[in-house]
Amino acid sequence: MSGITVLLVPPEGDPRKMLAEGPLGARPPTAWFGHRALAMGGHEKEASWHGGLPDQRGSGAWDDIVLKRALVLIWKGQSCEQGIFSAWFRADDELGEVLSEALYEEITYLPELVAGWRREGESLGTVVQLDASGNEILGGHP
Amino acid sequence: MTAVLLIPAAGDSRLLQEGPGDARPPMAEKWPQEAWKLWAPGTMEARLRYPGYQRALILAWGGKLVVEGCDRTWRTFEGSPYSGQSLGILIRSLSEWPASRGRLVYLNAEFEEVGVGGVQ
Repeated sequence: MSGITVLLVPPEGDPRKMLAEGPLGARPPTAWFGHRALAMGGHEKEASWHGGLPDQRGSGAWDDIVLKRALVLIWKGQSCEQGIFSAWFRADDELGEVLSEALYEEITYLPELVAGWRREGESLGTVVQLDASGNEILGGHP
Repeated sequence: MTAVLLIPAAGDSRLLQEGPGDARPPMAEKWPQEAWKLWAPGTMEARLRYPGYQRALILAWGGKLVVEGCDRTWRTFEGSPYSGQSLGILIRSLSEWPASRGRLVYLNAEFEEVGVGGVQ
């Protein structure tokens, strides 16, 4: 798992509010796919995944172009408990138990677990897996 | 009481640590000045240099559990997710809280401190 990043892209409109800020400033770990604004002007030519919040007009000096956002489950090999907790809290107990096991025992099957979760036709979202260089190696084409 | 806060023990950065992807726990802060003596939600890293400034993890606020704060506490010290379902259960479970893990602060509806917790 060294260096691998696992993201969960919620369905359109983020119906379970997985990316929403929690109460009292709590914030889940997120990433975004798009074009980063460049210091010398303009934007990156190729869209790519970036960790954290985008820097958009009104929030800072730059104006990133965001095409998609995701919840971070694993970041560069490091399990993001708060991201997994968000997925759990907003999914259900059954999935939560499995995600909890994944946290403490074996996280290599986490992408399959999340991708395989279905409830009455609803999906948790699309799992995207990135290698250490940030290239997609599993599913979730934005 | 309507709020429960946990002030980390000196040198323990785990409870209030921001994580990858700009993740952040629910936090409250308190200023030393008389006019700002009450706890309020929010925190800014830059303020840490002010003497007497305090910040804490929020376990409950407004009479309700803040599960993000409870879960971080339980994962940090117990190694497992938080499974409590109510403010009453939380308060009971904190009755034997070791002071070495940090200082508990209880607030009333006016955000005044009405008690502290932690067993020496």
